[in-house]
Amino acid sequence: MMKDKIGEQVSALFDDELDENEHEMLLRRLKQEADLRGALSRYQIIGDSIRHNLDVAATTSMAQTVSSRIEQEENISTLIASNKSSRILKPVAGLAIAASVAAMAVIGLQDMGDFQSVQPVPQRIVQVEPQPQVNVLPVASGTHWDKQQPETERRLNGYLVNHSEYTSSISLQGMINYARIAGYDSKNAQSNK
Amino acid sequence: MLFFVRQVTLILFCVMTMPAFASKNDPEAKVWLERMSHAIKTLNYEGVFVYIHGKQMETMRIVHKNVDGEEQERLLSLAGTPREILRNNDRLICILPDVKSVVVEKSRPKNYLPIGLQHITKNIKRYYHFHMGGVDRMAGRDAVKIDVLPKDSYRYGYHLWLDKKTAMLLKSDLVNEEGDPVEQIMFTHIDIKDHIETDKLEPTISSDGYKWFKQEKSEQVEKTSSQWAVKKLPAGYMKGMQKKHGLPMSRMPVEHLMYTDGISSVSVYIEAMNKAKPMMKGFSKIGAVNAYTTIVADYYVTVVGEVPKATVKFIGEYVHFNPGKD
Repeated sequence: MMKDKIGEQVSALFDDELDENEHEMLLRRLKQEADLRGALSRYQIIGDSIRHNLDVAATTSMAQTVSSRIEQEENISTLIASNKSSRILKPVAGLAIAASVAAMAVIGLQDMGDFQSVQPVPQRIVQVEPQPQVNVLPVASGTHWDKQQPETERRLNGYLVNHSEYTSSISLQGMINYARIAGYDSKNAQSNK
Repeated sequence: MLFFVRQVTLILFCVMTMPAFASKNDPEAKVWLERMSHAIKTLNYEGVFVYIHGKQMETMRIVHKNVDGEEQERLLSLAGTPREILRNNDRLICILPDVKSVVVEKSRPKNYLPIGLQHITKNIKRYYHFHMGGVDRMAGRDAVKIDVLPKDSYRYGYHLWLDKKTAMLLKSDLVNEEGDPVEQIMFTHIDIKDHIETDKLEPTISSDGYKWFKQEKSEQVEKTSSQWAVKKLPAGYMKGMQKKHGLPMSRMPVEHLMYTDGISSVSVYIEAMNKAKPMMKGFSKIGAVNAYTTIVADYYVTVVGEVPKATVKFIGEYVHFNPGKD
């Protein structure tokens, strides 16, 4: 797959294993494509996370650090509401950024091969009713579906919200359902780094 | 707290209505789960918790209030783009500043999923173990641990830490068959109070100028006959409901089938294909939620649930379309 190829090249660039032609071509693409630059950042963070052996135990320890930092902040909600969050929360967010972006990227890479983009090809001729124009639910960048195709992510977001509502009476971790929705925006975080 | 209340209602019902099972496992676990159910529903509290999945961590503030049985809840992300979720008995509102949007879903009744409950409660012991897991300390409070562990690879298990004094849930680990954590939530701080000020449940993010996306179509009644069915399910899962309804993202009705084993649950969403909005086939995941999309006839079929990848694939592959029905 094309994405796999580019992924391999970015990885090789990061490891200094890219031949000269590929190196030049990839740099040209990096100049032109923000997504690719994002991928490069993720590789760097993956490397950092691997070197630091980041795992759940580590992030639990981080949680305690975050807790103490949060407790030091007064009226944090008010600060967020007045659009000062990025400056004031930076020390807190920094920890989460490293962990979250690395994990995002790792998960995304692991599963990349499972996915294939398809155009719907009707298997038989059907009468299709005209579909009304609707506002399309935006792709909320704070959610972390590991596949980035916008339309797929939109629909998955919608399904997730709906599923959470229908099943919250069953799930022992119902609150997590909503934590996913309200979750941290790692895409913006990495671009802000 | 609505988020917690709904999550435990059914499993508590399951445990309470199967004394034979409870006695074979740990009866004390049953008592603690009953207390937890009451605590999370009736307590007023505010706190900060972390949500960890894989190597990713997110920090949330939560406020919960119960006045005369009416619950209100507010969840706010504290890192990155501020995002807020407000919930009461009627509506779930997601305020998403990063995309200047507000998404509104109708809240579901607390006692949803009546179908199959009796069967599930009788059989849940075949699929999970329930045990007391000792004592610990969480969020600065003494805690007891309860383990709910799966017996096969089609469902996750849970380790729950409850406040020794109030039985409030302080930490929850969702684990796979090997016992490895898939997702965790942990309160780093929690205040349990007599009273929560009303302004603490007001949104702090202004939604002026945002687009609103509402679930506009009212839900249709339960379907007794449909062109869609899942021909085979992983052991222990039963159909909880099946209906057509709207979603905030689309005005076209979506066929929705829901399956549960009493603790784990899976939704199947079926939408007519639209050339202008192609979906990707295959797997995706967000935290412990796995999704699997495939095409059946001329429809996208997407299976979503807090279950292992194997479960969504299993169910997705047995979705069957019968054009002669409906």
